[in-house]
Amino acid sequence: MADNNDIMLMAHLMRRAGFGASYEELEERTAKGYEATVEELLHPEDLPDLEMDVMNRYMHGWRDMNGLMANQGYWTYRMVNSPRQLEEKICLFWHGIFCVGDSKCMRARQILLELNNFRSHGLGKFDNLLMYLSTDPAMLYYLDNQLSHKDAVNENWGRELLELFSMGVGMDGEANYTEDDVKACAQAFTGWTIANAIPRYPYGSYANRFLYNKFDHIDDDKTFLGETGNFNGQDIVQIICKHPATARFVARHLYNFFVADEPQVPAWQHTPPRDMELIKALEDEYFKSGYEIRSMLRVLFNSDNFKNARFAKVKNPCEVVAGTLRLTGDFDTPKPRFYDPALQIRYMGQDLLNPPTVEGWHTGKEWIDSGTLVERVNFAAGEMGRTDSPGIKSIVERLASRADVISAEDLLDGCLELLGGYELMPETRELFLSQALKAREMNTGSEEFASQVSQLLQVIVATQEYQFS
Amino acid sequence: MTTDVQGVTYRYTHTIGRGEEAGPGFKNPVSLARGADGVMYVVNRAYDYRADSKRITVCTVDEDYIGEIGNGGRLGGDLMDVGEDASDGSLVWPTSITLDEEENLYVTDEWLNRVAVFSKDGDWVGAWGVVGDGEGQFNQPSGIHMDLDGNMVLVDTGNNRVQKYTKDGKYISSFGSFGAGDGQLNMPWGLDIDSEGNIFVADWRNDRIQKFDADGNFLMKFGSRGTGEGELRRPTDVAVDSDGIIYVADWDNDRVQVFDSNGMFISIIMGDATLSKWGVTKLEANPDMKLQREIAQGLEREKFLRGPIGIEVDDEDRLFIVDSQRNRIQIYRKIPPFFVGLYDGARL
Amino acid sequence: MTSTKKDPVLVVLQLSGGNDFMNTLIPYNNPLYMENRPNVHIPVDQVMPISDELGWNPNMPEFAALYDEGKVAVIQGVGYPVPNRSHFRSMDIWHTCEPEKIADEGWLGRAIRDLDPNKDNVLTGVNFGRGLPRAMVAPGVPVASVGNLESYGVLTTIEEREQRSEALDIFARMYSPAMGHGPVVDYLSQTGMDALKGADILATAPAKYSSTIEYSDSSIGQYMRNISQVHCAELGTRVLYTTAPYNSFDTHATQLTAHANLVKEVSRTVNDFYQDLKEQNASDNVMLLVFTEFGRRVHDNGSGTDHGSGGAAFVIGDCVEGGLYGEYPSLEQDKLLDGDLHFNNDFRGLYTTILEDWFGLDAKPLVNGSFEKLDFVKK
Repeated sequence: MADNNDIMLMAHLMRRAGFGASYEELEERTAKGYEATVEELLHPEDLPDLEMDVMNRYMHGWRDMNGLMANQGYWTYRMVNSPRQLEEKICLFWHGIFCVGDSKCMRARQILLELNNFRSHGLGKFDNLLMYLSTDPAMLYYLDNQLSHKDAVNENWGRELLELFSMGVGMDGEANYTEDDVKACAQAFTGWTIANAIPRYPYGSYANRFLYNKFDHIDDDKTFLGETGNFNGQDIVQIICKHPATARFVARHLYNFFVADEPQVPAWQHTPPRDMELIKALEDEYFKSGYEIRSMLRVLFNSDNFKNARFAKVKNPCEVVAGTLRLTGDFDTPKPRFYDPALQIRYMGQDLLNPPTVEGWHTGKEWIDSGTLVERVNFAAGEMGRTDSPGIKSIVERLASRADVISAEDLLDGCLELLGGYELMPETRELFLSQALKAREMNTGSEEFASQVSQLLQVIVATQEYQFS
Repeated sequence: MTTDVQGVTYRYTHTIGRGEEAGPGFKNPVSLARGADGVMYVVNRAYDYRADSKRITVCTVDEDYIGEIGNGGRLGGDLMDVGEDASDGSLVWPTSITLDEEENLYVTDEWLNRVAVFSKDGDWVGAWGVVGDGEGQFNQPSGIHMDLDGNMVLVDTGNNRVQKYTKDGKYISSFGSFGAGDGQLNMPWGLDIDSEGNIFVADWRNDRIQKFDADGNFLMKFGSRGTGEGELRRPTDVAVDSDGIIYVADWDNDRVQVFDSNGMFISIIMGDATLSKWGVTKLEANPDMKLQREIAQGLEREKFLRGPIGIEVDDEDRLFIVDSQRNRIQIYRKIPPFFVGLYDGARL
Repeated sequence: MTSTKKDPVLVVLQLSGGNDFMNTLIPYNNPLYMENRPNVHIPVDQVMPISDELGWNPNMPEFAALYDEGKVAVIQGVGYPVPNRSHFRSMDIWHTCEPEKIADEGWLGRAIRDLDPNKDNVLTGVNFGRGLPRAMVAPGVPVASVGNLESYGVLTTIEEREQRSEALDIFARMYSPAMGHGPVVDYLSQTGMDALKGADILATAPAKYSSTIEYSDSSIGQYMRNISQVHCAELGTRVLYTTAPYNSFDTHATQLTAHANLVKEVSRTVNDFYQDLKEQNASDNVMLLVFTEFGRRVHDNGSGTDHGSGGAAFVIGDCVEGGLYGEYPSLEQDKLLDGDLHFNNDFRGLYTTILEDWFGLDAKPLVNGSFEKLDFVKK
C-alpha cells in the first residue's frame, strides 16, 4: 500500500507533466515509483501512440484536419486520452511560446503539422527545435518571412526569433541583443520562404512547403552577437543557442509552465526569477546536455523546488478542461457533441491554434476574469454532476468501501484526496464542514449517497483552490 | 489520363464538385447512388460543427445542380451544431445511400441508428430501425445496398454483421460475427452486391474484402494490411462491375485498387482530378485565387484522391469515386477489354 | 449620478460571416450589378428604392421603414486598407483597430475602461453569447458574458433549487476576501465576488421587464430582447454586445434563400428592438451599431458569393441623423480591388464618431490614431 503522501506527490507530478490522473492511475504510478514515472513521462516515444483510425472514421474532419474546430477537438481528445501525457503537455508548452494563429494562417492543418513537430521534437535539443521552427511554413507565414527579400528585408521573424522564441529582450537588467543584431538575424534568414501555395478554392487547402531560395538570400558578411561571418539561418540558430540568455530564457519558461507562475515575459529583463536556485540548475543542465529539453525537465521534476511547488500555479484552461475530463473519464468515444470540451477551453480564453497574438496567452492569474471564472466553475461542476461517469462512480465506490457510515470530515477529506489531493484554505474547509456538510454523518450504502458525493464534488471544484495546479 | 493493365483500361472522364456548405458542391461526401437520367444522389457527412451542411445533394453526372434533400443542422449558439435531433428528415451521421426500383432513397444514419427513407423528390417517407444487438436490431448501420430481390442489405458495424431487411424494415436474416477468421468481421463499413446476388463487404478493421453468397455463406477474402499492391489499409467501400471486376476504396492509402473476380490485384488508381464545372465557376468569382492557382507550385497534388470513401459502378460501367476529403467525385469509364465490332483498318 | 440626462449607451449587433452589402442595399439600376450577379441578384422590380440608384432588399421592410423615418445612418464602403478575407482575422481587425499587426485589446474594452475608470460597475459592459468577442477585451476590465440571461450565474448545473441556493451561499462565502493568502488569492476572491455580483444584478433584469413586443425565437432575436431587458433595468450598463450565430452570414451557396432569411431576421429584430425601447421610453440614449467583417465578392459563384471586402455598417437610433454616409463603392472593373468593392471609408472613422460624439471620449488612443469623423450623431 503506497503512502498517501507519495500518491499526492504523484498527483502533483501528473498535473504538471500531464493533465492530471485518476486515483487508480496515481496508485499504479506510485507503485512504480516517482523517478521511474518521471523517466516514463520523459520518453513518450516508448509508449504506444493513440490509435486514431476509429476516431477518424467517425469524426470526419479529423483525417485531414483542415478546420480549426476539428484540430481543437482532436487536441482535446489527445490531452485527455493519450498515454503519452508529457508529449501533449510539451506540445502545449511550445505552442504557447512559438505562437502561430489560424486567424492569420487560415490553414489549420498547417498548424497541426507544426504541433506534430512539437510532439516529436519538443523534448529534444533546442537548436534542433529552432531549426524545425525556422523552416515551418506556418511560422514563416505568420511572421511574414516570405515577404522578406534581400533587397527589402522584413524583420518580423528575425526580431521575434530573438525576443520571443529564444533569448528574450534582456536579463539581469541588461539587454541581450541590439537592434543591429535584429537586422543581422533578419538578413541571415532572407530566402527562407515557402513555395507558392495551392489556394483553398475549390478543393480545400494543401500543406505548404518550405523553400530555401538562395537567390533571395543576403550572401554576405553579417555581425551577430559579436561574431562576424557570412551567416545563414542555421548559423544564427547555433549562435543563439550557445548564448547564456537562451539558457535563462528556456529555463524560465520551463519554470513558469511547469513549476510556478512567474511575471509575464516582458517583465523578465528587470524582474529576477523567483527561484534562482532551480533556474541555475536548469541553465547548467541546458549546456551540459547540449541544449536538451528532456534533460532539463529531468532536473526540474526531480528537484525539491518542484516537489514543494504544489498549487503554485493557476491552471490554464486546457488543464481545467482536460484535467477534469481525466477525472470523470469517458471522453473517448466519438459522438456528435464531441467538440463541447474544446469549446469550453475556448470560452475560458484559450483558443487553441489561435492565440491572440505572437506573444501568446497571458498566463497565471491573468487567465481568470469574472467571465472565464464562471465558465470554469460551471464546466467543472457540470462534469462532477455526471454521476453515471466512470470517474464519479469510482470515487463514490471507493468512499463507500471505506466505511458504512462516514463522517463529514472523512467525506470531505476523501473527496479532496480522490480528486488528486486538493488542499482547502482553513476558512474554506470550515465552511464546508459547517455549512455544506452540516457536520452530519452519511450512510454510504444509502441510495442518495452518490448524489450527495456528487454535490459535494460540485462545490469543491467551484472553489478557488481548484483553480490552482 | 488512362490506366491500362491486363486489357482493362480506365479512362478518367471528369470531376464533379467543390467544397461547399450548401448548394452546388459537397462537404465530406461519403456515398452516392445513381438514379435514372444521369441523376445522382450524394450523401454529405460534413462536420459536426457545421451540421447545416449535412445533406444529400442531387445533381447530374454532367454536374447540373438539381437540389438537396434532408437536413442536418440548426443554428444555435456558437456553432451550427448537430445536436442529436431525430426528427423527420434530419441527418446526424449519414453514412451510405441506396435506391429502390422507384428511386426512393434509403440512407443509413449511424448515430440515429436508423434507415431514413426519402422519395426521389426529397419528401420524407419515414425511418426504420431499432438499436440493439438482438435479432432485427442494429447498432451503427453503415453500408447499404438493395439486393436482387428488392430487399435491403446493410452492414451492422457495431455488431460486426450483415443484415437483410425488407424495404419497409422487416427483419429477414443476418450473418457474421466479430473476429478475424473467415466470415468474421471487424467494424465492417461499405458493401456491394454483384449481378449474381453475392455480397461483398469492406471488412474495415481487418483490412480486407470478403465475399459471401446471397445467404451469407463465406466464399472468399482478399487483402491484408499494407501499402503495397493488393494490400489495403482500412478499406471503406467496394464495388463490382458487370464483368465481375472489383473496386476497393483503400481509404488510408488514399487510392482505389482494382482486383479481378478472384481477388487478384490488377491496378491502382491514384486520382486524376481536373477542375470541375462548379470549380471553374468558383474561381471565376474569386480572381485572386485564380491567380494564386496560376502561380502555385505542386499543383499536381490536386489530382490525387484523399481519403476515398464511397465507390460505385453504374450500368454503363462508369466508376464513381467519392473523394471525401477533397469534396468531389472523380469519374472513370471502363474501356471494354476487347475490340468489338467492325475493324475498319483501311481508315486508320 | 449628478447628470440630468441619461448616459449614452451603445448596443452592437455583429453580423458574423460577411454580409453581402450588394444584396442588402442594392445598386439596382447599375447594369454592372446584373452583369456580375447573373445568379445571385434581387430582381429589379422587387427592390424597395430609396433613390434612382439604390434600394433595400425586399426582405427588409421594417428596416426600410426605419430608414424612411430618418433613424438609420448607412455607412457605405466601410473597410480598411489591404482587406483581409479571413473571417477571424478581418473580425479581429474590426475588434482591435489594428489592420497590420495582430493585437489583443479591443476598442470597446478600452472604451469601457474609460467609461468606468474606477470599475464602479461590474456591468458597464455586457456581452450576450458564449465567450467574449475580442472587441470587449482589455486587461483588467471586467465584462460579463451571458449565454442565457434567464439562467446566468455560477453553479447553474445544480438543478435543485434549494441545493443551488445553498451552494451559491457557500460560493459567496468562500470567495469573500480572506486575509493573508497573497495577491493571487485576493485577485481570485475579488473576481469571484464580481462574477456573483454581476449575476445577482443581472438576475433582477427579466423581472423588471414587460413588453408587448414579441421578438423572434432566433438567437439574435432572443439576445436583443435580453439587451433590452438589461438596458431597461437601468443597471448602468453602457456597452451591450451580441453576435449573429457562427458565421451565419457566410453565404457561399444558395445565397438567395439563405440571405433573404438572414436579412429578414435582422430587419425584424432591429425594428422589434427599436419599438421595444420606444415602448419602454428608453430609446433616446441608445445607439445601435450593426456591422459585419467584410462584404462579399462582386461576382457571384453560381449559387452564392465568396469573401470580399468593402461592406457597410448601419447606425440606428433616435440619436442618429439618418441617411447615406460615404459613397457606394464603384462596381466599375478598374475600380475593383482583386474583384472586390474597394473600401472608401475607414471603419476607425466610424468608431471615432461613436466614441467622441456619442460617448464623449477621446477616441485616438482607443482606435490607434486619428480618423475622419462622419456627422451622423444628432447634435
